[in-house]
Amino acid sequence: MNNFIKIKNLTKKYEKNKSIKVLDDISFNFEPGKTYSIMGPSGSGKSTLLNLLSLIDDPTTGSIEISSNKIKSNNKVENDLIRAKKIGIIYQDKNLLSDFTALENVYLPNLLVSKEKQKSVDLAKKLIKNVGMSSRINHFPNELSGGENQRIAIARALINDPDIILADEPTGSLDSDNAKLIFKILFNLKKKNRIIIFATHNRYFANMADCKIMMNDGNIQIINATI
Amino acid sequence: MNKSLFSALKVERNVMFIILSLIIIVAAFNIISGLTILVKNKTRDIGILKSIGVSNKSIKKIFFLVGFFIGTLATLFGVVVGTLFSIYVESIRQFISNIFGISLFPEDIYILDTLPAEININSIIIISLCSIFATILVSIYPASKASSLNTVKTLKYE
Repeated sequence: MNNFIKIKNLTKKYEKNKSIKVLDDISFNFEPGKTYSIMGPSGSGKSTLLNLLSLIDDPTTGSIEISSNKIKSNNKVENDLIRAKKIGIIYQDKNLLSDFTALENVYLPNLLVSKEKQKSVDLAKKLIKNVGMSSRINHFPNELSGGENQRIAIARALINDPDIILADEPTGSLDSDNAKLIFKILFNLKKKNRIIIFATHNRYFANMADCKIMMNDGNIQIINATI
Repeated sequence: MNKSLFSALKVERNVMFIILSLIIIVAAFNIISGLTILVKNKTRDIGILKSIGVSNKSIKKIFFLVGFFIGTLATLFGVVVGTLFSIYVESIRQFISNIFGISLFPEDIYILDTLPAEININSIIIISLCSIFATILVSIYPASKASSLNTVKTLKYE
């Protein structure tokens, strides 16, 4: 179970007019039950790293292993399945499908895996209740505040009981009270032996993580690893 | 006399076939452009769906079914309107003639005193199937485009 996510010599280059190296030969192991914060200036590669870990982007070179399974970039179908079952993703904003209610947004990923609507709906209601949003279950995303949208996004990220939670600046567009609430919910998730990895610009929340990863020019530096 | 009339009617029929075929092509391009705009408007949603694990194949299926649904619905609507038009074609002719004071389908030219219309079930079925087939064909391109969108780019789409 140790080293649940293993990244080895990960490099990401964007080739357009000129080659830009966003990630430069990164190797790291993420362990379950731990929280990891990723900090760094804009353009340092935080989001790129999270995109690679969430398997929505492919590395130029290097490898990713999730629970001892080596990820194959060309096997999109299997990667989609891994993402659906093992990875929950929360973005900064506009996480939810605008034409679906909060409840529908939450139960959709589970319906994809279980194919049992009633079971998915019941599970979604329970998770929405856990994030304190029961009264807004039938509201559409545009009827919810930024903080409420993020709480629904967290409920959605949890519905398939994933081993990994990835959050890319989840409180970037929220006020401090809502940001604290979101991080309180996020940090509570590690109790279930999950890996929580989040990118943030907020030093206060970054320092609360078990391991702080500092990124600069595509390189990582491990700070205050308490693990 | 009758020979030249039937020859003229035959030419008219062929010209009508070409005109109606062009209308179907225009309608097909309307479906392509409509679906392309839908894909563009839903780019962010496509990214969200991909981020929760929805496969490219499923994304393709979603947009293909939207196109197919629009086309089938339009075909059914066309069949109903077309059949009603054929049934009431004489009343419609008289109504238009009275309103605009013009003579549509003049008796001295066409010999017949009423506008003839025949409802052929086989023709309706063949035309409907052709129309649905055209819808299926034109839905493939936008649906493929939606599924091939880069997930990272779709998530950044505003």
